[in-house]
Amino acid sequence: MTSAMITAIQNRCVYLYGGNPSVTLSVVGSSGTLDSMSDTRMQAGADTTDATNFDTAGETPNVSQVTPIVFDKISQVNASLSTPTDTNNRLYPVYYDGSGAVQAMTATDMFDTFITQAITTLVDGNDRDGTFRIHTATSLTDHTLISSTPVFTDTRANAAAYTASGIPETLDQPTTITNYYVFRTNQGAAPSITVPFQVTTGNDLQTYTASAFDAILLAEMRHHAVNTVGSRVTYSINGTGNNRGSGMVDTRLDGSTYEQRFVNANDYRTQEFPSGSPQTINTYFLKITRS
Amino acid sequence: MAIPGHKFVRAHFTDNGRTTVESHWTDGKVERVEYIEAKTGDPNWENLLTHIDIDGLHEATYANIKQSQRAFEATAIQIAKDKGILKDYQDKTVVNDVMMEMLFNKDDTSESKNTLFVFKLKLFELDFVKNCKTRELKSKLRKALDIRQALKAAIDIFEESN
Repeated sequence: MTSAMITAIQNRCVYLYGGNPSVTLSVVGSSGTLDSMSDTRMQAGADTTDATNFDTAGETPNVSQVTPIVFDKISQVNASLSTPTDTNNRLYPVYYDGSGAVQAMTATDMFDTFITQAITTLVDGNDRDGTFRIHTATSLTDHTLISSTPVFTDTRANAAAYTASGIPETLDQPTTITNYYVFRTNQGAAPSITVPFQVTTGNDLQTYTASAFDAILLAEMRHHAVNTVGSRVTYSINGTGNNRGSGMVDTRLDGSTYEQRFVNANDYRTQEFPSGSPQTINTYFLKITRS
Repeated sequence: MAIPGHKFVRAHFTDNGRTTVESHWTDGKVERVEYIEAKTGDPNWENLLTHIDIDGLHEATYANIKQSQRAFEATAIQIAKDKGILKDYQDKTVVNDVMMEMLFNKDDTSESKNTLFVFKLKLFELDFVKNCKTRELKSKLRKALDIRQALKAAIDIFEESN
């Protein structure tokens, strides 16, 4: 088997896994298995009313941060799989051992030859079949939306909504800046391969059927991706590994504005509103790695 | 490509540490944002660098910060104008209004007395007032009880000096 043939089978492993991944992400209502993320924003300070004159900016309560909104909506789900059974050591392809003999690969040979490199490819940070990523819209070419529920929403105080004439304004008047969604990369085009030989029960050599060999590769990929230490496909928020799609950014305004409203000679009102420029408070990345 | 099926539009850093880039992409109809970690080896970052180089990113970041500042300043100035804190003296109407208010506002507060005091000091700094030899006119200016009297005395001194 040439190195090109081996590479083609490794790519076929990625493709097959993409059609039926054993490690998936789902969007849940709460208590996802991945780390939570927090969205923060500023809100107006409490208004003041004075019967003789306007309270100064110093006397008027400052803007404050609302209680962070926690997004804990991403769960990793691993399929429950057992090790594929290699009955009579004939399950896997044969190879020439360099000493005049042809013998079937062991499970370890399969892993070392095809699977480990395929898993490395899966977690390299590119859009690989059957892996998951974050995007800022509800549609994305070659991807399937997992849920129309965003897994993170960046909100900020809606500075334009606060007006002096509206004092007392509602303290928390947010606006949505960006929603973030989880997508799965679709199975792409099937890489063609040279189907190898196997040993039959009669100790003859014959090629696998294409579907039979695909089934073996898929079973190996699915098994190792969830069970083999060092090769388990693992997602996290800001853990180790490569980023998958867009970072999820928590931003908030960095300033405040002191406003006055004269209602009548006995009613002078003031309030401080969020204003200024958006600043990044935190960035969350969905990461993928093998562990 | 960071976002499949999209073309690069623009990008800038979002943080002081220059670790995250806000990149904008379009599918020809809608512009979408993607946040990319500026990390060597990250596929999205490496891809982004095929569309814009580091210097371009820093320039775009500077421009973005300046634009944000300008927008904030414009908002602050508008609020100050709306509140009457800030006057636009290039607007002749505003100048006329201020003159009328200063001259004919019958305000007797301590604040107006302070304004009168400062106004007199400014008048006494004028060359034609400094050079005036007529003690009576200078005394009128010194003893003026309001802006109108002070201005009238200053005009008398000015006319005498010409």
